Amino acid sequence: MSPQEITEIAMKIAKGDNESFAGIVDEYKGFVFNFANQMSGSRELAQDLTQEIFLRAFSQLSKYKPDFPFKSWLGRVAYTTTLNYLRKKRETIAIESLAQDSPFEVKDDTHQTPEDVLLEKVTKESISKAIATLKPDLRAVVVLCGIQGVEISQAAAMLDIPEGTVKSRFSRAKEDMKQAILRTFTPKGV
Amino acid sequence: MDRIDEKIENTLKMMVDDPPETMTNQVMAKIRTGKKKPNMLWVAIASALACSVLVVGIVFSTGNLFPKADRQAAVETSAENTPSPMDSYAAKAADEDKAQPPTNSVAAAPGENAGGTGATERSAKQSESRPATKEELEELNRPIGEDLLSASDKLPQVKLVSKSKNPEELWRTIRDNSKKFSRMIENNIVGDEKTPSNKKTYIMKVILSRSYYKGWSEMVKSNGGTIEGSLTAPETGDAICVTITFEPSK
Repeated sequence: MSPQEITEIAMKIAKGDNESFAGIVDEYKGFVFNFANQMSGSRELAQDLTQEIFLRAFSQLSKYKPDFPFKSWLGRVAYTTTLNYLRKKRETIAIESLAQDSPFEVKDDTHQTPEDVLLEKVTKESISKAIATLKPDLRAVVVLCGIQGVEISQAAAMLDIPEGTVKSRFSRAKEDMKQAILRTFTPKGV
Repeated sequence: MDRIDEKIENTLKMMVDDPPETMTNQVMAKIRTGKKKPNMLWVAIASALACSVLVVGIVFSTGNLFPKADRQAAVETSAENTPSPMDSYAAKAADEDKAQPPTNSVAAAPGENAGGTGATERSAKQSESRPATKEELEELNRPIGEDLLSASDKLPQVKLVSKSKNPEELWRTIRDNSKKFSRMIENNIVGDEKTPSNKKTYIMKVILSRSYYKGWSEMVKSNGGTIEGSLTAPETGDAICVTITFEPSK
């Protein structure tokens, strides 16, 4: 959706046509929901959060300036709303659950290197859990750049940080996730 | 890039999830009912300004906040005669209690407790003898905050089942007594008769401060009602909202 289209919708809303906001929701609900889903770690929470994000965007839409890409603007709204929400709810996902859910098992295959074993364990589920162990600022970068395929420059605009910081956070997040997955499949005391 | 990084990146790309099909409707419903929260900073600034203007006005109009003689008298009065806020509250509560029938005997089932039935009749007479004033009707019909109404959908739905054969009386008693337990909250109670009076189902939304919650639920029980459903107050926030479906037993 172009900034001009967004501005037109904002003008319609200013005149009382709130229903025109549905066009924006339709266009960006996938982006917002996925962001909320991976940030909160729960599909149910993500639905509430998505509503909060769009409600906030709706109330702030008159402040949107067309010289800024709308998706970046919405991403920033999503990020700040999510951070506030997580702070308020103090939602944390215990890292212990990783170890409980995934018993240690390594095939007795002398040809497999530890790297091979780890590669087998990199699944959607294990990554989801590893994402949940990241701090919110790192998690946001992974969700935006890793999952949603947002460009580094756009993610930088959304998170209001320099592009270099996005890159370094992304590398750090991947390393942290790797370590989290490794810990998951390493028995205690070893 | 090593193989693990590559695998992680490829797996991440496959983790995009479809939103629920009803997402747009959910959001638009929230927008239709949702209200902007007031910015508390501006509220605080406005309050501080209003207080300042008031104080300045008093000083200008009297020449002094308290003339010396009045100031001395005020000190003596406050020291000797003025009851503490807790005393005032206790006295007010005692007055209100005197004015109302004891709640534990109001709505017992007929034949089960003679005193209770009498009290029910007295209560009903109190409610029916005086027609509701326009202000009272407005207050009853005033919609509570839309944001709270929408929030109430997520809160426990409480079902109230009565033993009384006279649902109108009991409903009125509970409605009137509920005000006693929810007066600390603005726009705190709405009673709506969703069906004509010959039917026996009423809907009532009550928003209570946590401190009144226990007293309210005890009052409902002592009025012959049993409560079904979770009564656990949320751990955050200072208010709860319960929806009561009042269904007298046949």
